[in-house]
Amino acid sequence: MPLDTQQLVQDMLGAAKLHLGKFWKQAKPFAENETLNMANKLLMIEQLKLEGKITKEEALLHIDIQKSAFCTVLLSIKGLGLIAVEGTINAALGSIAKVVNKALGWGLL
Amino acid sequence: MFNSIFTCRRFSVSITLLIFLCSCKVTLLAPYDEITDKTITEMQEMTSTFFVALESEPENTNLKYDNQKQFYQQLKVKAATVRIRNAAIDKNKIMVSMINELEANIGRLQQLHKGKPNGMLIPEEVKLLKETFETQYGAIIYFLMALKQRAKAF
Repeated sequence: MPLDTQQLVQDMLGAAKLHLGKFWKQAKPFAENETLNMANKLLMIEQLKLEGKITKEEALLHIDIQKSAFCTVLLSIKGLGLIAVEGTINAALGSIAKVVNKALGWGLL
Repeated sequence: MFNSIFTCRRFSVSITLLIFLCSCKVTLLAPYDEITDKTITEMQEMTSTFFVALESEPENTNLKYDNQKQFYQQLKVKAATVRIRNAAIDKNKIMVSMINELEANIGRLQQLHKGKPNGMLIPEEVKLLKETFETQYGAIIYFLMALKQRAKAF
């Protein structure tokens, strides 16, 4: 039975959205691009299996390789999101310090 | 009088908390690690060299699994070394997870290659695997570069 690419992409995007949580909004364009890339690779694997160029066991190994790579991409996106959050928090704390110092008229913080 | 002492104390505690908060920097992730960067880059170079050789000489018997055991051994040693190093660093869960996924994929690549009756990966597999590993290494290196930039800002 041929792969339903559209359904596959929808399912993968759903999983990515769940995994990325609050970073989904910023990560959506990257996640969509990577999901499409992976869906195409899965189609290639299916084609190789149908043509008898690879065995079922080899196809499963290839699919696992794709899943791992996709996971790595999502982790990287999540990491970049955390760096951005950290930067925002520290910038806010830095602003408070400036305000306090200005109010006191000297560099307490 | 009691009210004014209480108000003074509340004020002092608030100021102390504010000073403490503003003098701290929040860190959600481990710092950039040059040795990890260097090792992952070496691994990426080794893997790319392997796939380029397979792409350009698909019939070369030197690229049969039995003649490539050293490649897999060296790659797996580097992966284990960088995994152990990163597992020892605090707030480093994301990097450790990425390295785990990469290490697992190296194992799967070896399994695929080893399982071939003639010891050779077919050209279509090589293309697929090359692109996938490039994506995977790329994601890790992208994150490392972001950590490096962050270190400069800190």
